[in-house]
Amino acid sequence: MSAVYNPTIAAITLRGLLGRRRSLLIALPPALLLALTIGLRLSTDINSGRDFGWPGVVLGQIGLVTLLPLTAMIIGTSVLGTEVDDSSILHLLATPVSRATVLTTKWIVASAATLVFAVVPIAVASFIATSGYVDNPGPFDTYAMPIKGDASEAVGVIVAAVVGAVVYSAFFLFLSVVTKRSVAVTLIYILVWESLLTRQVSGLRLLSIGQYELGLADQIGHLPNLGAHLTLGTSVVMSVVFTLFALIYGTRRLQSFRVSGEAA
Amino acid sequence: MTIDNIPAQRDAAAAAPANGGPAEIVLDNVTHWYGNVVAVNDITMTIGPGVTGLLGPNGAGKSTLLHLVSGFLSPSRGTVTVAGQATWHNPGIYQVIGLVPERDSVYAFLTGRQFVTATAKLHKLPDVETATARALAMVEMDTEAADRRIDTYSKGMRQRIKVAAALVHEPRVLLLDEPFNGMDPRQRMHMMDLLHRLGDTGHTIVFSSHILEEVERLSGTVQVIVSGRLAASGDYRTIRRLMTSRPHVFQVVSSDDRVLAAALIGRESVNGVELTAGGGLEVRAGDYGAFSRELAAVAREQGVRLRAVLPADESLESVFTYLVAS
Repeated sequence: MSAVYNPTIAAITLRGLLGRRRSLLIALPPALLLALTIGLRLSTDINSGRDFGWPGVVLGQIGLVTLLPLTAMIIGTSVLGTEVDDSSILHLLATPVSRATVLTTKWIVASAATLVFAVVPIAVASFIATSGYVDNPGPFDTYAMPIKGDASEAVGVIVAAVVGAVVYSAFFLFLSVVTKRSVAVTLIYILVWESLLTRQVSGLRLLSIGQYELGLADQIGHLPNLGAHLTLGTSVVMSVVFTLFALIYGTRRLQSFRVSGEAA
Repeated sequence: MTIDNIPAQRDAAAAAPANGGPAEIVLDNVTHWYGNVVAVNDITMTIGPGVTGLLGPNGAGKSTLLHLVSGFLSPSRGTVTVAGQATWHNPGIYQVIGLVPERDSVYAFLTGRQFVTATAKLHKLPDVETATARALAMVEMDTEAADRRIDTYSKGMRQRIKVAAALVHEPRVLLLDEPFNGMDPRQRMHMMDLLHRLGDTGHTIVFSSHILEEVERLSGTVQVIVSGRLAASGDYRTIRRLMTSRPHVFQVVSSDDRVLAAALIGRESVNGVELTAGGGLEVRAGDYGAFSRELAAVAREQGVRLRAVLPADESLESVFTYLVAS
């Protein structure tokens, strides 16, 4: 049984992630989300009929389904994809450390970095957007008075973001191992598969990490306008299945890493 | 550390392999193809302790062979073992093997010392600090340069730090892919000296090169790879003799090509002469040394002025092609 975590690999990975110029990009999506949320909060009344519902759109469709995966993509492809591309991964693989340990360590680092760079800003944005929110008054309930906002909407979004960070990181690491064009493939997944196809074709939602997130956020926090389609149970089960699949098959591909850069 | 300590450190570092004595590399009918391209074709060889050079032109299959031995490619057919263990799908083999890849990619954001230390930790060495110091001393990188970031290093220094990382766990087998690329003459001399000492103390050292002189100076045993096949194998001096005694083709331009051709064809050292369409001669010399000495004398005897003498087939490829034919 190999170790799940190797501190030396984690330290190299983290330094590589934060030391590259590309890492400046990591802070960009969350900064955009925070700026948008603060701007909307200052300019609207979320409990009015007219302005009701934007937190669900901003936190769900923009925060969870677009900005979180973009951040996870930059991090996930940086921690492994660039090393595979330039073959520097050979220096890690030409040691007795098991390939499973290499992959899971990088997954832990990528997940932790995504938590810091994406989930924390999403959490802050969630509290900004939903503080004082009337519990689920319905989009046309213009007479409802803001009785008591609680934190359930924000908690739902935060839990979904944490799960999303973990699942996206595993999946994007998997893509980094199986293709040399991991950035392009990941972008296609986010922008075409998740943002386009799964919205149009209901059957594909079972294979969308974004839909798992929305399902969790909706079931826990009941924030309106999230655009969720999956149940809590389905979201949890599929998140676990997706993560395990990515880690197990990613490890297998890394075990068969060929020096040309492709694994098979 | 003072400079006086370095030779002693290096000698200590190049002591006999620590992990179980000498190790053999055995390739048995190994073939590897990429799609339709056969990169390595049915190679059988055994490489024992000492320094062995893999010699061949670019694209001959040397790197593929090293990657098969280092476990980063699987043989499409045949078996590869190092110290009796299969190398493919076997991370444990890296306790035996040290690998210096050709590509310059290292963790450039680390210092040289951090890079070697990290490698020592990944090998779970009991005394990381001592192992790191020893490895750095072996490649003469135990200077202030070791504490600079690798992205400030010259290509030669990067090569040396890669070698230090590959040696930190005292492997019985060291594989180096084009290790002298980018090194200045002094660094080459030092690296050759280091590899010699490692080879002399029972390590199995295999390096690839497309430069004859590198192999000549470093290696007693040579495996010549051409077009994925093992073209020649054995003692370098034998192979070198074969290379120098092969027929050479020269392009000769003179003031009277026909007179010169008639005179040359009567010489023992010449196998054939042909008048070329654009003027000049193509001379096939059976004895390179004798022909080189005789040509000027023959021309003078015949009152012919030599305008150009060019070896036509001095490319490495032609040398290797001849070896294959032999």
